[in-house]
Amino acid sequence: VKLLLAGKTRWAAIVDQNERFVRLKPALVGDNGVLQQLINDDDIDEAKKLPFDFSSSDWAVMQQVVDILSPFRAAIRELEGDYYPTLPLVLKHVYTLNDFVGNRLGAVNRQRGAGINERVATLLHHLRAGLGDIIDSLPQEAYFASLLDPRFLDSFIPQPMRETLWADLDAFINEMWSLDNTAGAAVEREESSGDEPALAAPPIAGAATEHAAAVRTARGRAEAPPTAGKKSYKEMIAEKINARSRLQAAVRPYRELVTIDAHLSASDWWRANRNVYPKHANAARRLLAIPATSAPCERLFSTGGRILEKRRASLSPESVRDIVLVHDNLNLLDRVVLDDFLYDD
Amino acid sequence: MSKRPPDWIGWRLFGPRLPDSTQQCLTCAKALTYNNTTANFKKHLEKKHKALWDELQREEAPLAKKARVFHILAPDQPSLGDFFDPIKAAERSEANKRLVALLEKDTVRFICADLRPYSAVEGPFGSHVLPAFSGFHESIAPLRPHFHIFLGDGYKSVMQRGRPLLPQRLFDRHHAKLLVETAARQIDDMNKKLYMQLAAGYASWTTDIWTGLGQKEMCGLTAHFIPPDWSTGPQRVTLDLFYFPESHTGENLCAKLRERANLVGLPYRMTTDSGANVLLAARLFLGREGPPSLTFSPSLIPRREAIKCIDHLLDKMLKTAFKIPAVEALFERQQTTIKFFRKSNKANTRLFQAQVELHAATPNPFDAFHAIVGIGVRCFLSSTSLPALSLIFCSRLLTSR
Repeated sequence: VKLLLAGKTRWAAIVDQNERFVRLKPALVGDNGVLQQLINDDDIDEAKKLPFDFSSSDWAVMQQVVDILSPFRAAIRELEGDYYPTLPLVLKHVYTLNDFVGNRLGAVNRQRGAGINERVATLLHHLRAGLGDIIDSLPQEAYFASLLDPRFLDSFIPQPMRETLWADLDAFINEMWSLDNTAGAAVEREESSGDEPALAAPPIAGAATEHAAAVRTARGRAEAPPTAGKKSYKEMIAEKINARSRLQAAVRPYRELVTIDAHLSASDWWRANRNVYPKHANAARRLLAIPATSAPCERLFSTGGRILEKRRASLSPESVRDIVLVHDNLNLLDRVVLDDFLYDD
Repeated sequence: MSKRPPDWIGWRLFGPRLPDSTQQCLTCAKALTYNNTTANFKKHLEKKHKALWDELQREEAPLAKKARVFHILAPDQPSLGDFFDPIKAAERSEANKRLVALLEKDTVRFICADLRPYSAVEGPFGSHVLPAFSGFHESIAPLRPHFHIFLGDGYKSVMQRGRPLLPQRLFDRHHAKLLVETAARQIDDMNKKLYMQLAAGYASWTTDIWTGLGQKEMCGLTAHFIPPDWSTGPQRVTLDLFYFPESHTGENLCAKLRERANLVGLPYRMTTDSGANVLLAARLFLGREGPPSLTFSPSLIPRREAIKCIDHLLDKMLKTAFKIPAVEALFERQQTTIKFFRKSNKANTRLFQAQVELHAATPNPFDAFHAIVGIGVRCFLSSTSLPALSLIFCSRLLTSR
């Protein structure tokens, strides 16, 4: 294992650097540590001038910094992900980290007499202030996204804010809903038109069939004669699901849902329940798609950097763009037709 | 073993000659034996694959006896000779065209997946000399056995193998570039179509500015959306990565964003880093054309602002945490020490030896094994040989159980 020097561009690299350094402590110091060897050895002159004298309290500080900062690194790594909703995670991570730092600070304050290092306490104070600033600057989308994620709902939102936020969320989804229905989001309207009246009216036995027929004619799919006796298996299932979900919605408004397991996928839940809470699903489709970080962009640049290496520095920007595009979408390459318009003879 | 007539055009419909002097039909995989004459091969073709055989004869017969020398030309410079060129003629036949198209797709995949330079398709001597071997074509040739890579001293040797020659354009870097451009254009179209179908009005963008090597300032733009039926989680589409040489003011960037929005429609929100210019661009961009603004809880940041990348904020906080006076000196010393170890090979070797000794001293079998392979790991690390590394990890996993 080698020592690691923090790069400038990678997030939280300095945590890695510190962790690696602490991990190598037994080899660096100790009975016959390398640092001692270097100082004793006459071969390497330069080593004499270097500040190798880490005291035991220095090591203690470094060890504690590792413990304190690795949750931060874990949070950063989860937030930079692709292909899962990241915005709801912001609230979870920021508030969890805030609690974590607060607990550590409490522990440090309690043991202040017992030789706990002042320096760690200062660091914790700094982190606490920093997290406070971040919490103050969180966008409202982060809160709404958390509310619309069935894994979290309001579990990470501080108690005093919950009431106003739920009210805000209702205003927000109504606003989004009216925006789509006036601005003509055709897909959405077609999808949800069947469920809107059902939500308003209480579920009555027998209404399901009438409703299904109404929807079928409304969508212009009335080719099959809507005789009550002859329904395809698919339709019957669909009706059952519809009836059940309407029942559910009538019984339990979105706000009173219980959170689902944290390891389940929010998009799976919404796929199953998008017709139960159409307005919420509509807003969630926007909010859960927002990436919490600009990591996808940075990833483009990292590919670009690999293309624009030293020997290819004069490559034109258009070529870089082309190569990055194909590189990111290699699965689409099978559908590309190359020779059709290249060689017309 | 008898000598076969090398010029017979029928050979290109059969596979290579096997040691027991049989050859496989490429169309139906039937194995035929060569006994001093091509009669049975001809009969097979006439009986089983009449259409193919006729087509081949029609195309090749008038040309086969003629020109024995081929010209190497850039693809955009046809000459009269092309029309009599047996290689061009071979290219023209339909089956070959399909195979060449496959090879060209391989070229694009090779350049874009592995991020190789365009010149990698050329041989070591450059394209203007001869169609020399390139590592790439040599390595895929066994996978596409219908082709014969050939160092070119005339038509005769081509026909001896009875298979068509790789077209010269496959060894040309300009052609490779053209192929990549074509592929990129089509993929871009597909992406945009997908975006318009599934995302309209529901997508969010991320953007950032990057200065690459040679002061190439580029701006990246990605879009994220969830399909209407929630069939997948958030999807990512690369909208653009464009050259941005103008000064990086918010107004300039906003103008560029508008251009893109005119093509694919507006995003719902944007995520950016905390740079003032990018934030301004997002505010201008979303402010004028974004959805109407509502302010809810006064404690929350109003909409129409870009969402600041949370990792940038956290990372900045960590970086400044290492700079506070209480711990700054300590971490500077740590950094100096690490820098020294990176420069001094001797010190690094010592560090490594110390680790091996430490691991050898501990009785944990897992660690002991680690120490033994440690030397190997170091060797492989220095040559950054990832496959070898993964092998070692696998073996470690196996032995630890």
